[in-house]
Amino acid sequence: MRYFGSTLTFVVGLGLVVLGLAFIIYFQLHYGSEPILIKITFSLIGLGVPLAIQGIAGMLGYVKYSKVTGLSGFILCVIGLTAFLWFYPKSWFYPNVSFVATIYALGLILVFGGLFAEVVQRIIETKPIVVSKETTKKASEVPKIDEGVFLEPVKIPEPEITFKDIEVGDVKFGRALNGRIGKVVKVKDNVEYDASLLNRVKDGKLEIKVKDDEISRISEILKDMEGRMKKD
Amino acid sequence: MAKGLDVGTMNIVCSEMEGDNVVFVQQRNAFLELDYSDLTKMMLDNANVQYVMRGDKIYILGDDALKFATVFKKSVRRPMKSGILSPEEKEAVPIIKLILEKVLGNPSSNGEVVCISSPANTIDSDIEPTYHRKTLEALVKKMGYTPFTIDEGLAVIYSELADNSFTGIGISFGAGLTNVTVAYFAAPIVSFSIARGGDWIDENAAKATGMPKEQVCAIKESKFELKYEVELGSVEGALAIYYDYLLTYVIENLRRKLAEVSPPQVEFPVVLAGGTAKPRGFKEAFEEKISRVGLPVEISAIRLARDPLLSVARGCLIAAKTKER
Repeated sequence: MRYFGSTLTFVVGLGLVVLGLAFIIYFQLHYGSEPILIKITFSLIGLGVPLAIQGIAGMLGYVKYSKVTGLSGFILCVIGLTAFLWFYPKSWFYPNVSFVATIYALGLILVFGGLFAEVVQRIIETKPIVVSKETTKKASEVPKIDEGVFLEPVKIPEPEITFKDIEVGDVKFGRALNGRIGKVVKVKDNVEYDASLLNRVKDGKLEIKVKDDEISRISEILKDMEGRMKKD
Repeated sequence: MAKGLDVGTMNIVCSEMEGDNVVFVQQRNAFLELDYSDLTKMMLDNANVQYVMRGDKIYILGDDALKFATVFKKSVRRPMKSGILSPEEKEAVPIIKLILEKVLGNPSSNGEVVCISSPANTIDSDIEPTYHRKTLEALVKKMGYTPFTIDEGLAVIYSELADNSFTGIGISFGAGLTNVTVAYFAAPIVSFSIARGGDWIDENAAKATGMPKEQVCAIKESKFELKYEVELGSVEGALAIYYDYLLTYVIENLRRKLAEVSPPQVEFPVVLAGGTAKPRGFKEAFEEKISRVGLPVEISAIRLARDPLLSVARGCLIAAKTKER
């Protein structure tokens, strides 16, 4: 919709300019021509130019302030043009001419300024960002986050649910149920040593036998090569 | 001081150090409910039976429950089923509390560390062990201990694979569940349980032969030897069939779970533990099965735990020792 509106504005503006130029050629306008023809012709061109520029700016997409600038310029052009129609030909002399010309020219400056701002914005957006060496260095100094951290399951502590003691009622123990019960097995054992080994393994202080065929194969090749070299 | 506690479907075993020795206190995780009468009480007292009285009921605890079940022509009840507290047994928590108090005893110091074995998540049933684990922790904590839990399979590795830097495969063939853990440098890389164990073998062998389950269990625990030449129609034959089926099932699942991870390229010894692994010929049967199908890891050796029934409790004690203050 934005592109359609802008295209229409540009086409209308261009059409008005072409029509104005056609009027100039067709009616062979000059200083002494009919005032009405001069008014129509210059109204067409005077309105067509800012309209066409507004159309182009609209196609580029307004940046934050260029829309305000362009619209202000267009309004100034319209004011200048209205003033021309008002003053011409009876009051078309100094200082009215200067005022009208200044207002219209200011309007055109703003309209072109808005368009220029649009173009500059486009250039900035499409240009690749050049990062200075210093910036790269600073970026490399930032500590990198180990991505593996996010693969580890988060250890959220389990909720501490407090349990009330269960009601087993009035329990009376039988005569044989004194102290601990059960079949007792007593064995000489090295649990303490195994526990110390487990602690060491958990701390990463123990090694393990790794089966690696590749190492054996390469060592055999090296041994073979060494033998051949000795023979040579 | 520290203690290890293996809470199994069939047995509860406590382990602790006493000088250079390890003392294991083992008790059946079972009870027998009787109606109170003076005569029954007098008989039980005379026979030195371990029981408690509550209201108008007498509860015989542990091994004695099994002995007197036939005398009173009643079935033994169990607080646990399929490796966790039985949801069908209303007396499960009070009875297991009593057995735990009698097996574990009082703490030697306030906040003594206790490592409790816990089943890993099952891969073939909807058994969820969290409630069981938290309840046991709470019961032990109420007794003045500082409890923590480890997987049963990992306890087997801690107990039996110190000489291999706690790297290997630990399998605990229990009554309710079969727990499997594959660990690398004491860290589990695969841990799961299977909802089949000794009870599953007993039930199916009993159904197949029409013999009471208790009797099948007694045969299995006393004279059964796992071999491939059995008498047709015998209990031993049925037991051999279901043992073979269980081994196949465990190895199939172990293969599948190992294929899901990328195990390190090291040699893994396998240790078999648990009461169900006790029959003679069990290790050989396992070896034969493995040699036929293989595993996605290099197996350096297959061995039976020094004492299959006490291995988990020993592993728990080692784990508890590492947390001792």
